Amino acid sequence: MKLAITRAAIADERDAENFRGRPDFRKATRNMCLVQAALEKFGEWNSRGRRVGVVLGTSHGELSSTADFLSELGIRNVARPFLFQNSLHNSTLGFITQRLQFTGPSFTVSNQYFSGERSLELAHSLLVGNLVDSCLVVGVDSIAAPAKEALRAIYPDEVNLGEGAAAILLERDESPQALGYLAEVNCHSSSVDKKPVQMTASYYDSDAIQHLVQMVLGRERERTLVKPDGTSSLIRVS
Amino acid sequence: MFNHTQKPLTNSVPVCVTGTGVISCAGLGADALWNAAVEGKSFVESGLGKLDDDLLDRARTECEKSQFYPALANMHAQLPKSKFGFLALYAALKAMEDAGWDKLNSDDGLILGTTTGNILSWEDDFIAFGKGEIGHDQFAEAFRHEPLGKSLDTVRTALDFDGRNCLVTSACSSSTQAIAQAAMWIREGKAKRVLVGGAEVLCQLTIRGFQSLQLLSEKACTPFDANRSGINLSEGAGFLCLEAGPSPHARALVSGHGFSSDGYHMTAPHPEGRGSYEAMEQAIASAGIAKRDISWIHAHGTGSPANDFSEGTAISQLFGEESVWVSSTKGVHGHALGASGIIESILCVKAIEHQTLVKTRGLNAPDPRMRLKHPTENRRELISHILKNSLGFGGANASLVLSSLATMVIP
Repeated sequence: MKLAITRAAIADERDAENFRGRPDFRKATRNMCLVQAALEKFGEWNSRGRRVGVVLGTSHGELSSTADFLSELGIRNVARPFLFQNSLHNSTLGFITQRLQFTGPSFTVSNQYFSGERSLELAHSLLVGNLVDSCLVVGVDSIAAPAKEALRAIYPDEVNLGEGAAAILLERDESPQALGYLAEVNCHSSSVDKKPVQMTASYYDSDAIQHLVQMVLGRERERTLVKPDGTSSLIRVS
Repeated sequence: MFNHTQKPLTNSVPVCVTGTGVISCAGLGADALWNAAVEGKSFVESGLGKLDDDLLDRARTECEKSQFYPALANMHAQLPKSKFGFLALYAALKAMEDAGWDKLNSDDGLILGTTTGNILSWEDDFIAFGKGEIGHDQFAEAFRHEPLGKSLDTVRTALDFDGRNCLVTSACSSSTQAIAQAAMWIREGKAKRVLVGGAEVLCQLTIRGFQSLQLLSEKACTPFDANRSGINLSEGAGFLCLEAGPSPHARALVSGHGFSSDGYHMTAPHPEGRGSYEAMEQAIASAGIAKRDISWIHAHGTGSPANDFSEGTAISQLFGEESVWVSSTKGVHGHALGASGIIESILCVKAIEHQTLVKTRGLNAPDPRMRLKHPTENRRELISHILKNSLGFGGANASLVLSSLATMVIP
């Protein structure tokens, strides 16, 4: 079965900044703004009564809200409800589904360096299993304060840690609107000699979706994504 | 009232449950959990279902002395030091032992559902670092465990497994979604066997967080009761071994699943249970059965006023009033958030094996706004299909249909 990519968009920190000051984003986190920005870049799209699912991949989830919650708890012994509701890994998707009044299947996946790849695999299952006709796949990770410094403790110095969100719309049926077809997602997590690699380009754990968007827009067939620990994944588009 | 039948399933590839493993505040193993549910004994103390040190010590001893585990030790298996890692690995190993799996092969699958994962490994140090009580090096060492994906790596590494794997984190629906994903992998042929589970530990984030939302009860919860006063957080882990059927070791079937989003609120469920209704309806349809074929609904039933009302309303609307048995066991073992779906699915497997459905502990005065059919005592009767519900924060709903082997048709 061919899976057509019919929409694709990337959002970065500048796009997320556009939501600053908007009343409806007053309690939104950086991840929520990044995902919303990516979806708005999709432009208008009509699901035409199709069953739509959404899978979101994120490694650190809403770490900034978790950090804020724990800091408030530690310093002032105060537990703030809105920080808690924003602190779970699936809070990003909860916010987005609420905004879109989205009622289809929604999954949040978190597999560290392979969060984007695993999201694509799950979307594939939903489509092949005929649970949905279309599936949004989103990858998002951010390095907003106060978690920014903490995150540096996780990555080797060689990693140029960035942030961003990317989204694609996968459809089961072949479509004249297809930007490309997702052919293969293959994770190679068993490197014998795992060691940190020099990464000059900006990197975030769930950026496989961003790479996929760049591939379909640039008509690139294949990319190998090298991870901070030396493992890798291969994504093919036909 | 529906006539309950043994309608055969139509799935092309039966997904068989061949092993269960669980550790909960009710004890070690599925039998301890089942016996507690049957006896209606609550293991919630001061509002929490905490695993005591004695239980954890017994679990460690059981692991170390088991004749089964040396085979795994030869694969470099070591018991993780973290509570989360140990709970998850204990339940995984018990499930594998139960199913007779001496190892995971590279073409098997591994899926884990959790909300906060290994948070105990870094939460205290994060707070202490913020208060200037510890130095950067100690903080950094602890914080390396922060990525949720590392929680799965703990199990993966201990089992020396490098095959297809995934961590699902959709709040309280996490492990229910994980079971469904495992069933999808088997039906698609991506894996013939999948070890799927969930694990959760009690931590400050969730205890103080739920407290801030005024959702915690200090007494054992009483789901669907008119006087229910909130939920009991708990911790634990459960795993299922799932295999493409038919299998001589099969004990039950995962025959249907459904998912939905409320699209309504970050923490509150849709008041009319719109999402839950949709997930249940899909699960029944995907099993290829009719509503009347459901013998029992093992509800999410947390004891939270809004959650129970939402789910109860959805059940009433979908099934009609007082038409199918509905109960919750959270008054026995508490609510283990991302692990609750798998722990309660294991109870459903036991219910199928014993052909017995259990009542809701502490339910004395059913909420009259929901006209549900609650068993007032445990009932031994023909159980063909059980509907298991999970409703999660963020409006993520999931339902499973678990079925008896008598419903299986060999393709």
